[in-house]
Amino acid sequence: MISENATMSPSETPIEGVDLSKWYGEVIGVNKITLSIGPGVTGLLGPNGAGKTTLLNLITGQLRPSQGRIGVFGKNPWGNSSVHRFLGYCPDIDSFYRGMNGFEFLRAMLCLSGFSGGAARKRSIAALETVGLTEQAKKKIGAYSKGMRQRLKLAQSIAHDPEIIVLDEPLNGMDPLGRKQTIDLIRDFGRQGKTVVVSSHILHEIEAMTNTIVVMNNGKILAEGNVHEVRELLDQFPRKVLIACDKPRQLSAKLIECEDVVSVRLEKESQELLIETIKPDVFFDRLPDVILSNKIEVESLTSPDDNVEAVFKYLVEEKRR
Amino acid sequence: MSDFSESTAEVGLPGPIQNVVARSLYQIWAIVRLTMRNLVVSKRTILMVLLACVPIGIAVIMRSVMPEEGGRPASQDLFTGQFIGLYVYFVVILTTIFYGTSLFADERSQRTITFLLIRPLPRELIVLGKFLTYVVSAGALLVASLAVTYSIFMGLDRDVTLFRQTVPFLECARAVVLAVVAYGAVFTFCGATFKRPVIAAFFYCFVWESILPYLPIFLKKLTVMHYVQSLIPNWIPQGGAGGLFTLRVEPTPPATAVWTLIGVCVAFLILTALSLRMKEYSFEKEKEL
Repeated sequence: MISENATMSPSETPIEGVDLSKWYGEVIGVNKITLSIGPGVTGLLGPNGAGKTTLLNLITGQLRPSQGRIGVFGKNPWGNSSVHRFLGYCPDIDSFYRGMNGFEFLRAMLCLSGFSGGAARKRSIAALETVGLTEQAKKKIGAYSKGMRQRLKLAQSIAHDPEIIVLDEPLNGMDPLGRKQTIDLIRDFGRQGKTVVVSSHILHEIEAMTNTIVVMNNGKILAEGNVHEVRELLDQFPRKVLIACDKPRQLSAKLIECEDVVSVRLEKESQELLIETIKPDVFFDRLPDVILSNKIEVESLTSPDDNVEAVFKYLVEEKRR
Repeated sequence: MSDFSESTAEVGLPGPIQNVVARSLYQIWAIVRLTMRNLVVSKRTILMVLLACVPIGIAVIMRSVMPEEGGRPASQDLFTGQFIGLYVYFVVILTTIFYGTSLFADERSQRTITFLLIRPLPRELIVLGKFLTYVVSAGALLVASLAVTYSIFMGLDRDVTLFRQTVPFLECARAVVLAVVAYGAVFTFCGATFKRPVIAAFFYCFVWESILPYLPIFLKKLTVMHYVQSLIPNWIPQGGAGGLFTLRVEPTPPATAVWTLIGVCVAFLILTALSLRMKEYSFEKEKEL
């Protein structure tokens, strides 16, 4: 039974959903999900529209389940503001109060959380330092880059030192350095024993943070567990590679000999090679050698279905079989 | 960056205020500061200040066209009998509509409401903090505007004593403040509940309350305006174009009117808190699904 009272019980599972559904009229957001998330970093992976944000909003008590139940340390988060004492949320929404600088925003958020002025100030300074925004603390948020705004949202989610941190696409709009720093930070939170849930639609981002993933599509959980197991599953999915070069026939002859290459087709109109491989990593490791040794001039190289939507489509088909 | 030079390693990070009452009061204060800050930077505030200046301008014009001696009505009667009615009906209502509905509608349209709802902050405190800010700012603006307007009117009557000048003003100010409180609560509820709260508020004021002169007497008592009008000294009921068909209702005694308006305020604040509790303010329907 999920309680309304909100004192944290360490013995309870940090996040637990049972038969959880959420629909908006006829549109299904989340469909009969049962999951349990423990301490450490858990990646929530899925294409746009998979239901990730709906699930995160259910966890953070912003949405009421249409069916089933959700518990945060055993407490029902819906309409239960005290749950937020031990839960921090970094929303995907890129909106802030007008005219504030980063420090003022954080201090205001902490005062709203019940910290006195002095405590809020100290915690704001600490959170800004953690996310690497100390230098920009007194700059207006309106002048921040997208990456800096993402860091500020991350700072407000961790400033009150919550046990559970829920991050909705935290790496969106970050530059490579910012991404690396944020990934390191998220891994640190996991190492500290906090429960961190991170959503993303990019597999390698999630892989960089954690081994534990939950894969979602169309409001359902397609796979969950170790990222390597899911990777193996994904590796069964032949990936397409399109190469435009000056000697397509010669390249075709060389590539068809490789075990991982399932098919090679010459596109007559464009003189491009369409290759299907079951081991894209191996294929891309070998390709430069083949090109150089045969003195082939490559004009372009694209992977038309190397996107997460294609992978999820494949997983959905696998699930149906 | 001397302000941010403290090392977090050396800073023992303090926890939240432990005493529940003290923490709640502090959280209300935090809401008040945040809301006030938003009001200050809002373009709507400039509009409201301009609106509050309109009666001052009208008073100046009226004074300039009135004869100095004899043949004109007493300024006090003119003010309390007719002008204050127009003041309440247009300036107070428009101000309360635009301020009251904006308390939550702005947070929703700017999508900042998420930051309030993911705090350990009971939603009742959010309503209370926002409403207090509104009452203080809208009340101060309108009472100041009323005071200036009144003094312009009364400047014509040099022979009236200060006491005779002050009492009607205070009665009018009481009516304005209670109108701000009661209408504000109704419109705060609209802002928290409806997607287009200004339309709902306009409908209430300029459709429902406007057709009331033609409705049975008991229905008139179901309006905020009736009780506000009951508090205005020497109120002259407006018959309107269809004066022959209107039914006039006797004013409610002032004490009853005051308590009724306070009751309306409390009831609508409770409804606002319930609405905020029950409503799902989520933007991913637009974003993702």
